[in-house]
Amino acid sequence: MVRTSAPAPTPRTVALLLPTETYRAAPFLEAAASLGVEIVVATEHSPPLAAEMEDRLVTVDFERPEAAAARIAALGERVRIDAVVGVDDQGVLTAAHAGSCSGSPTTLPARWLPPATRPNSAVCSRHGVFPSLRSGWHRRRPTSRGSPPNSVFRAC
Amino acid sequence: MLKPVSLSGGTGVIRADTPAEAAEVAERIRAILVGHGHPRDEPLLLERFVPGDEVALEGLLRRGALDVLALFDKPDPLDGPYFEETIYVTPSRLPADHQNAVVQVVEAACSALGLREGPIHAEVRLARAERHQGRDRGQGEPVDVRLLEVAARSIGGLCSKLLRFGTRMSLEELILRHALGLDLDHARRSGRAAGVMMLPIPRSGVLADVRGVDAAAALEGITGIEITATLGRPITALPEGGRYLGFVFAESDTPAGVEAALRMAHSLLDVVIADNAAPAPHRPRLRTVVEPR
Repeated sequence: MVRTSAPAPTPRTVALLLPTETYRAAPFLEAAASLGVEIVVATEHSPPLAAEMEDRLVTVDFERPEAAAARIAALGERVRIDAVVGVDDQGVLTAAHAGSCSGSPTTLPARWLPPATRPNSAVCSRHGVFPSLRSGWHRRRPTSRGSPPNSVFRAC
Repeated sequence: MLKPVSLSGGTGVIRADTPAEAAEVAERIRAILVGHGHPRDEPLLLERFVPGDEVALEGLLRRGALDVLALFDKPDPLDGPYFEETIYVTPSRLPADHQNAVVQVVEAACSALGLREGPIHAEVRLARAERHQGRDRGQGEPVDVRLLEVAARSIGGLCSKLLRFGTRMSLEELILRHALGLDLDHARRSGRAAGVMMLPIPRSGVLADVRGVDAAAALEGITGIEITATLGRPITALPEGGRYLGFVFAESDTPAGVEAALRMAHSLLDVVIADNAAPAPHRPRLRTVVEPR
């Protein structure tokens, strides 16, 4: 008799918005390891080993939260992202943009975003991103790795 | 009170007592903004100074309901002109009715702002009538709770190290669990009274040495010391600076014991700051002497 084991569940993935000078990277990474959660990092500057991290790192400008959210969303087209967590003040607006489009719960609601940049569900839908709350950011269409991020997500 | 809208940790937060002072302070804050890479002309907050005790509330919103993760006393007076965060101790020693009043104000603020999910960190002052100045707070004494701010994030720095929930779950694990919709049944702080001191930078210059770390770490109640500033590198005091020298952690059976341990540890630290950036020999960054339990 051949026994087959059930496939291992796919690890959940959280996008952590980590400002370069944060004190809190290590505690969050330790917590993720403890939970068996995978992490993708959005930060302002590429670390020395950025090339090794490939789809686990995206560089963003937290001073431009809309564009930063777009880059995270573009990454979400290639890898599963189940939630967005802004760690410090600098990432709060970006988390709000990204989370609102994904339906992921972020503390700062969309109503606090500048009116011109609030997520628009029609735009989100047109770009095919963020289908549902906590269900992850799943690939909606094939994308080539060379696609510019804003080609899949903009102005959400 | 004048504050920039984009900085944190007391950076650029300055008290002014006259309109003329306020104008000077505004110019200083604009220079600070530029130094931190922000636009010089960004809006500034202008608020009335509220004398009184300050507390910080760490909370987690779930479907609009506020779970209070910790209420911290800030036993050092914060009267300005600069507002350096130093000691946080939990649980709070405020009377229960005053704690409840704080929670109610923060809940109302979150509701008014539309905050419904995720971590929040709120700063609150308990203004008191002049006739009560200088006295310990008592149960039933009237209290005027004023919200200073609610941040849509968790506590900063390394302060979260002193918080453990249920069976030693960290605050970060709690936040990730919440973000992923996982079980949060044990979101109650566990353990003894605990506290942290964010070590102030006494003046700007180049950090040459921090002496006394071993002696401070050996004190009863001290569970960890981490010097996060780098030896040989410039450090900047408030209000221009935005970093801490380091952190001291303590636990005890009582909040008073925690506060006493933190103050004693701080008194043993000798921070040596040079006046200029003369080339310093390479020295390794100091490491945590004792890991928080």
